[in-house]
Amino acid sequence: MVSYDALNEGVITGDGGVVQAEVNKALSEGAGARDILVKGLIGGMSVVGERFGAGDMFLPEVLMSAHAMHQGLDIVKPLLAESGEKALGSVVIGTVEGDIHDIGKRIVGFMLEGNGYEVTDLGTDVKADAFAQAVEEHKPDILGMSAMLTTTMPNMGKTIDLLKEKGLRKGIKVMVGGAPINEEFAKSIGADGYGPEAGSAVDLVKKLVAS
Amino acid sequence: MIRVNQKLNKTPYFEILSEDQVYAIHSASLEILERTGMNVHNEKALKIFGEGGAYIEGARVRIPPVMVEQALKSAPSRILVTGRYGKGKVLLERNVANYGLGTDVPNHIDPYTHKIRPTVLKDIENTGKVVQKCDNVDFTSNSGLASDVRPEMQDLYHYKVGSTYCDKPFFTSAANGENMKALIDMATVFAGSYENLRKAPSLIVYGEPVSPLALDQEATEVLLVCAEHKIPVVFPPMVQTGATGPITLAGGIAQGNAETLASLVLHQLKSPGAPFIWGPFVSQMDMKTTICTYGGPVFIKAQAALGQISRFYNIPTFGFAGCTDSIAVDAQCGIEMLWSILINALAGLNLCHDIGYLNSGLLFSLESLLLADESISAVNHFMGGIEINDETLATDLINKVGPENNFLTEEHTLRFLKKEGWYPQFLNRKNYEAWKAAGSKTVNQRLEEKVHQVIEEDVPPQISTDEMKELDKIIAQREKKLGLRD
Repeated sequence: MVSYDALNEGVITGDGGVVQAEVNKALSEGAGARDILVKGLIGGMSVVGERFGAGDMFLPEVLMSAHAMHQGLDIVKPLLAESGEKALGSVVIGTVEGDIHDIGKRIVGFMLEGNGYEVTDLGTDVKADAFAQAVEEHKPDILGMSAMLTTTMPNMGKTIDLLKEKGLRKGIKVMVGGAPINEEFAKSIGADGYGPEAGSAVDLVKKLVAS
Repeated sequence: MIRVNQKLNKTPYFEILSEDQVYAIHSASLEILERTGMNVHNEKALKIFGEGGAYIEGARVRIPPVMVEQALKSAPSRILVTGRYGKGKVLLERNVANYGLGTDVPNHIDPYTHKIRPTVLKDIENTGKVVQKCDNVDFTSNSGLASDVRPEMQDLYHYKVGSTYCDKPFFTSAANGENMKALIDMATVFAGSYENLRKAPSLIVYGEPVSPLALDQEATEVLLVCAEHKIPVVFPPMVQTGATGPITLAGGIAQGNAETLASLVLHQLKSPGAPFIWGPFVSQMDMKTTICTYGGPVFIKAQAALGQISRFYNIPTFGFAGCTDSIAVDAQCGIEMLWSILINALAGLNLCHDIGYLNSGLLFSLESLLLADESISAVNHFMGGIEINDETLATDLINKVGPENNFLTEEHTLRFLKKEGWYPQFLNRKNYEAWKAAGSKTVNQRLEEKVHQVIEEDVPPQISTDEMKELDKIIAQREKKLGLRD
């Protein structure tokens, strides 16, 4: 039985060196890649998530942890691919057309990456076409859209409509977020989920991937 | 390269009076002392004043300016008070603000029922527990006036229970000279000897002249005992403008200053160099309700002026902070509490007491104490000013990050995160959904939860069993002397 305490701690304190050493140590002790990912890396990140939620950690510290987690993930990922196992899930995100607000969407991306999801960030001012193209190309589990302005919010709905038109809507879940967005709006445009703040995105994605 | 001819503001800087205005107040106070004088109802004090050169006519004592100047010269400009075991520091010196509790509030908001009822010893013990947890509170006090002990013994019991779970410097009143001596004996249990206590006092004593222009028997006795034992003492008259002093703030401050200076003269004549904390209470009597206001702009203006006068004298000063006329921990409480805490810092007052006082000093609650702790934390951050240098201006970093990027993952962000930001314990910063998900709690509910958590926590006493026995012995002796026990 491999103990993941030190690996968890390395993730929590954001020490990439420790994380890599502990991942290698676990592998040499015969632990499986999936076990290391789930119990060691994501195990550490769930503590980070809890502490952040409770107000005991600052966002930049969380991002340090996410970065350290990724240094471990770099070792584990090829092994997972070799055995044909899928990673946790993949997400495509972007800020909608006409809107160059980046930070909220960027934090969501960091948080998801930090929790083991594969994130493709399309950046800002992303047209509906570009979203659709990315969905076709990456075949993500989830598409996340962000808008900061009431004037750009409708472009979320437009994107969803285009996905339907192109027959891309069925295979994915759509989540939306941003200061002017609320649950009702999300429902009205046919999104599957809405997160009121960046920190809630991880839980939302977990829920959407499982459903 | 080097930047030259630089002048940096380490902290915000604030003044309400000009130098000439400060001098005008000082001059008026000297006139009051020489021309009108004080009535002194204490034989020992009259004798000391007379021998020191004052003009005595019955109880009336008129003090010439030279005596005031001498007292100001011999009084120390710096007083260091520490906790009973040397932990915690209250440095009373120009432009150093220290925050803590006031004494002797008759009523308490019950932490569970929220009913207002007379204070009991248990409340004072709980106050100590909470103060011990308040990082921004520098000194403690009984705060309450226990209704479940005899009035002539309250101060000694307050000191005992208030110290049980708190080892910070203790601010106390004393009923009379004999009780003051007993309090000194109690503090000596921890210090080991009078000599040690004198060198490193853990006690600060509160007494008052009676406005307008009188010194009574008992408070004066306490003042003299403190002088003799060199225990720091603050002796503020309560000038309520329009009632116990003129309605004009200038006149009220001049009179309050005169009353405080008269007390200082007596104190320094008794024991030159003994530690004295200057500073009258000057505030508005509310002529609609007759209450003595502990909030509002008149009270705030007076405090601002007192800070400047104390720097003119270069003597430690008393402040009134974190208090309110409100009867609840509500919006009024929040406004008045923060304002007075801020002005105490801006004015450079030193012994900033009365945090958590409600109802103009007649009511106390542990929730208002925690709110004051949070407010002090915010003010302390504000008083840190804005650090301006190449590293904080961060133009290299801004250039490196560039447009349409972010600063979240920069080492610079991590490095300055805690110093440059301020994080509340109780104030809400969640957005609506997150707040709702966490139970839709108001700041009052969060304060209440914390109070319950702290007072229910099983923590070890800060006093050993042997020390407690010694304290009880001193209390028993005093009760015997007063005929309260066989």
